[in-house]
Amino acid sequence: MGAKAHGAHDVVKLEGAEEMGAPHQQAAGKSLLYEELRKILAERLRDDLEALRLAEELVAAYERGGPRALREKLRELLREVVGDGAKAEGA
Amino acid sequence: MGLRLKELEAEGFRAFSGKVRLRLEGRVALLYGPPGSGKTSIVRALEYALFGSTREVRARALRREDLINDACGEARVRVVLADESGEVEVERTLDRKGRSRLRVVVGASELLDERGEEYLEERLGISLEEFAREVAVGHLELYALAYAPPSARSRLIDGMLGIGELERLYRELSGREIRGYIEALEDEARRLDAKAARRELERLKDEIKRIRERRRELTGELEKLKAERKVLEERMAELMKASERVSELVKERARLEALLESLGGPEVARAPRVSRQYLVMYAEKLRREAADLLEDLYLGAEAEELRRVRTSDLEAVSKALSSALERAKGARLRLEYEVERARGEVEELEDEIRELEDELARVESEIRELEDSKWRYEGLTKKYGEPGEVAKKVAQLEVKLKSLRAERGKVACIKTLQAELLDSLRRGGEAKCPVCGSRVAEATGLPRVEAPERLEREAERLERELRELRSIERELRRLEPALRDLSELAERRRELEELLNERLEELEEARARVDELETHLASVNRRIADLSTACKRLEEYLRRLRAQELKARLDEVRSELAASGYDEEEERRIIESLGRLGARISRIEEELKELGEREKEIVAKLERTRAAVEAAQAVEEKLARVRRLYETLMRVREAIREAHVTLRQKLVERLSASTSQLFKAMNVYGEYDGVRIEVKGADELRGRHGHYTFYVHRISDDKLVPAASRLSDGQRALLTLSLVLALNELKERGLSLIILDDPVPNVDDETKRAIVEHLVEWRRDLQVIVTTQSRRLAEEMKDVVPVYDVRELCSASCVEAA
Repeated sequence: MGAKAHGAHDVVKLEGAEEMGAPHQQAAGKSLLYEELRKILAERLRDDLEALRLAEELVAAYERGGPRALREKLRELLREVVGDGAKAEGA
Repeated sequence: MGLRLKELEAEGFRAFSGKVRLRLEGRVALLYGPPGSGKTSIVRALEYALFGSTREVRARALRREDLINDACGEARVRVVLADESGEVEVERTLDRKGRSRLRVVVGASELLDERGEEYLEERLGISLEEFAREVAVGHLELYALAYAPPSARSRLIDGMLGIGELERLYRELSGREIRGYIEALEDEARRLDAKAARRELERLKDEIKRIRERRRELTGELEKLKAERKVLEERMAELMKASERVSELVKERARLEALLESLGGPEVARAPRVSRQYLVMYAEKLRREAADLLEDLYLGAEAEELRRVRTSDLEAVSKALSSALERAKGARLRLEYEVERARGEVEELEDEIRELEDELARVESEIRELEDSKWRYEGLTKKYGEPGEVAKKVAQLEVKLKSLRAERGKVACIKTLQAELLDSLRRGGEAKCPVCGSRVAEATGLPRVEAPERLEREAERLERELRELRSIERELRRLEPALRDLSELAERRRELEELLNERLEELEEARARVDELETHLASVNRRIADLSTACKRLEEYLRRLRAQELKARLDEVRSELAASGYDEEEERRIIESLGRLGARISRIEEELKELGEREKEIVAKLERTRAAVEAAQAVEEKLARVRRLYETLMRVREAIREAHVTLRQKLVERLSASTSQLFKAMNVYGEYDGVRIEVKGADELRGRHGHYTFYVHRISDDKLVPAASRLSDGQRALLTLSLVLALNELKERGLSLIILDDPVPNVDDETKRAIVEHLVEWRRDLQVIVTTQSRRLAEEMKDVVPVYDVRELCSASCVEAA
C-alpha cells in the first residue's frame, strides 16, 4: 500500500474545533490544524499582504499535496516571476 | 463520525486454521481469550484487511506468507465497516506465493485491487504506521512510548500531534532553490556586466560616427580627383591626336628608350665610343684562336664551322664564339678524363713493379738459402761420385759383405767340426768326417782353415764402409729436391727480371704520356680562360656599340619630334600628374574600402553589444523580481516558524489537560490525581525542539513530581495509555475506532475494570475494542459491555498455537 494522500490526514482538534460541527467527510479532507495555522498567519501577516497571499498559496499547496506539491508551487511562482519556464525549472 | 468495525471474518489467517467470525454490537466491546486464543490475530486481521500488511511485516520481522496459517494454503480476511452513510466491505486474500487480492464493496460498487487501495487510502485517511501507533495499541506500543529515550519520545508525540508536518513545511520553505536561482542570475548579471556593455555601446557609436565622417571627406576628395584626371586625360588625347607621325615617333621613342634601358640606360651610351671596324678585327682574331683551340681538342668539324661564320655579323660571331667556348669546355672535360686515366695507368704500373720487386727479393732470398745445399751436394759428389755411383758401390759392398759373412759361417762350421773331431780323436782316437764320412786318423790330417777373427774384422770394416756409403747416398737423395728447387727458382728469377724490365719501360712511357697530357691540358685551360675573357670583353663592346647606336637613333627621333612642334614637356607633366592622381585615387579607394569593412564590423559589433545590454537589463530586472519573491518567502517562513511555536504550545496544553483527566479517572488508587506535560529545552530560533517531560500531581503533599522517577511500571503504563487516549481525543480521522490489545497487563483487575468502565463513558463517537485474558474481568463486565470469547467465535478446532 502506498503512502496516503497528503491532506487526508487524521486531524488534531483544537479548542473551538468541536463547534465547527464539520461532518466527517469534510474533516477527512480538511485539516483543522491548517485552519488554525492560517488563522495565526493571517494575524501575523496582516500588515504584509504580499507575504500573506504567498503564505496562503503555499499552505494550500502543502495541505493538498505535501512537500511535492509545495515544491511544485514554488517553481510555479518562480516561473511567474522570471517569465521563463524552462530556465526556472533548470535553476 | 468516521467508520466503525461492524463485522470481521478471517480464515487461514495466523492462529486461525478454520473460519473465525466476529460481529460487533454496541460501541464498546471486550474480547476475551486465554493466551494463544487468537485475540491479537483478530487485531492483525483487521490491520491486514485495511492496509494489506501488518506492523510485523512492515518492520520485516515477518514475511507476508507467514500471515497464512501453517495448515492452510491461503488466508482470507473480510471486514465490514460502517458509518451513517452506509457500509464498506473489504476483503483480502493472500496465497503462499505472496499474491494478494483486494475487493472493496461500497454500496453497489465493487473496487478491485489498486482502485480498492486508492479508495481505502482516501476514505480511512490514516497510514499503517499511524494505525499501529495510535489506533490499534497494545502494551508493547505503550511500553515503547513510555520507555523510549526522551528525544525519540518527543519525535513520536510531535508526529502524533501533527507538529512534525508544520516543521516539515517550515524546512521545505528554505528557499534553497530560489537562492540557487538568484545566485545563477547574479553570476549571469556579472558575466553580462551591463555597465561595461553600455560603455562599449557608446564607444562603438562614437567610432562609427567618426568612420562615417571620414568616408564622407574621402568620397568628396575622390570625386574632385577623378574630375581632375578626366581633364588631364582629355588634354593628353588632344596631344596624341595632333599628328600621326608624332604618334609613331613617340612610340618609337618609347621603344628605343625601353631598349636602351634594357641595355643599361643612357650611362652605357655615354661610355667611350667603340669602333665597329675594330670590333670586326677583334672578332676575327678571336674566331681564329677559337678555331685553333677546337682543332687542338680534336674538334675539326666544329673548327671549320666556326671559320665559316661571317665576322661582319658581330652578333653571330659572338654567339658562335660562345658556342665554341662551351664545346671547348666539353672537350676539356674529356681531356681531363684522359689525364686522370693516364695517371691511373702509371699508378697501376708502379703497383705492379713494386709487387714484382717484392717477389724477386723473395726468390733471391730463397735461392741464397738453397745454395748451401748445392755446395754440400757438389762436395759429396766430388768425393763419392754421383748418387748412381754411390748406389752401385753400396750394392757391391753388400754382395761382398754377404759373401764374407757366408765365408765366416763356413769357417766357423769347419772349426766346430774340427773341434768335435779333435775331441773325438782325443777320446777315441778315431773320427769320421761328418760331411764325407772319410776316416780321420789324427789332427794333423785335418785341412787348415783361415782364422775366423780376420774374417770378422774384415766384415766389420765392410759394414762401417757400407753404413757410411748408405748415409752419403741418403744425404745425396735428400739434397736432390733442393737442387731441383734451386734450379726452378733461378728460372723464376730470370723471368721476373725480364718482366720487371718490361714494366719499367712501360712505366717510363706512361709517365711521359701523363706529362704530355698535363701540359696539353694546362695549355687548353689557359687558352679557354683567355678566350672566355676575350668573349666577355667582345660582348661588352657589342652592348656599348648597340647602346650608342640606339642613343643616336633616339636623338634623331627626339630631334624630329622637336622639329614637329610637339610639346614633350607638357606631355611629361601630364603623364606625371596622371601618375600622381592615379596613385592618390588608388590610396583613397583602398582607404574607403577598409573603412567600409571596418564600418560593417562595427555595425555587427554594435548590434551584438546592444543585444547584450538588453539581455543584461533583462537579467537585472529578473533578479530584482526573484529577490523580492525570496524576501517575501523568508517572511512567510518566519511567520510559519512562529505559528509552529504557538500551535505546539496550544496542543501541548490541551494534551496535558486531557491526559491528566484520563489518568485521574483510570488510576483508582488515588495516590496521584493529575498529570502535567511540559516541553523542556525548546529553542526554536536555534532549531531545538526540546523534550516532553511528564509530571504527576502527588496528593499527599500537593506537589508535581517527575513521573519517570516516581511512578511504578504499572502506573507508567497507565499514564502512557492516558496519553494515547488523550491524543485520540485531539484527533478526528476517517476511522472512528480504537483497539486496546491488552494494554496494561501489569495492573490489577480493579484497575483494568476502571479502565473499561471509563472507556464506556469516554468519547461516545469512538468505537472502542479492548482485549483481555482476564476471565474475571470478562465475567464482571458481561453486564456492562458485550463480551466476546474468542474461542467461541471460531468454528471447531480452528485455533492453533500462533
